[in-house]
Amino acid sequence: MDNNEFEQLSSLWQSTEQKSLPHMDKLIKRHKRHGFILKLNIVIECVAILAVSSLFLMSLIEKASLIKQIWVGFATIWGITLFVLMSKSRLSSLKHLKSGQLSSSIEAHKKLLKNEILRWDLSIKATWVFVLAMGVFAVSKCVFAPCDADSGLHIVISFLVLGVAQSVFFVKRRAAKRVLLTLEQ
Amino acid sequence: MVTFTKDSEKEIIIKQYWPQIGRAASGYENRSALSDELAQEMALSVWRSLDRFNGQCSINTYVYRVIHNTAIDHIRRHSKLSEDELSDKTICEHTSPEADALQAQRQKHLMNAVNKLPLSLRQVMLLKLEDLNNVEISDVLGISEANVGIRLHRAKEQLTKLLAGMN
Repeated sequence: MDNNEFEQLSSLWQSTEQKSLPHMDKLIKRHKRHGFILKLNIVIECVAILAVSSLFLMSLIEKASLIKQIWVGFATIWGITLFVLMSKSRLSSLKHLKSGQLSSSIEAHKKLLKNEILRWDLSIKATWVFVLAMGVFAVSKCVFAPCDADSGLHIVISFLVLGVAQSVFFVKRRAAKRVLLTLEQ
Repeated sequence: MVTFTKDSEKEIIIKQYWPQIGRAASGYENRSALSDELAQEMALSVWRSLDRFNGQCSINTYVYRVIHNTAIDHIRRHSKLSEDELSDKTICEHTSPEADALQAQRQKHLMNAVNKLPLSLRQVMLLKLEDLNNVEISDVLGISEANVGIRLHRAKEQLTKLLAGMN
């Protein structure tokens, strides 16, 4: 392709039909709404952690059965650990987002992607741990008390939900890895 | 030192660069709805980034840098969708029977060919098509001039093949 041909291509490119100009006030409002949703998610997670923690304390105070205490205790520790690790990664991403480097550096995007992959990894591992614990809980429940159809159904549904969540995490992690690879290339 | 703090000044910059923003969005994203969304994201990023502009480079370089990094961000977030998806379909959808549609058809071919270039080559090609010189492109992308030259050479080669394949 010589310079003349390229110039023709360039003018062809620049003569493409223009998109209609955006309303900046609407875009800024939308951006603020996204920020609000992000903060709301963090608040919801905090409330969920507090709820599980209080449930654990209640089970201790009310002297609930040992299996229930262990199960709720596990869920509390699992939730808090996951929340802390996730928040650490999110804070690191937020630091990159706030630094403004995203507008000027591909390295910042790579760091964000690495953080994202780490979060999906954590979700996958945490779900495996949860599935394992739930399996142990279900077996021990049936060993110490007679199993009824209702609780059996609940456990099966829980396993199905966790299975679906796990597949979503796998797909998301694979997609993030693919983009990271593209950026690194 | 030139700064852009007033909304009216930012509005002028957005209007001035809107055609380039629209073309860059189409160059990175050939699905119409997503391309419009990307153009809006780019405009918003430029708007927000203008607060941080302190004359570290020319405004032209700065705006292009923001535009192209927003595109990377878009690719990162929309990774679940294949970049090449629908590209052939788009060509068929936009075929017009009108005589003056030939120009539009050629533009569509060019856009689809650019869309098919690997990301690293597409970036330099999009900037070159906007008439930026190699020094400006190296400033925007943060790579050496020599690297720009190599990528541009490869991009032109691949673009020629892709365009020939479409005709």
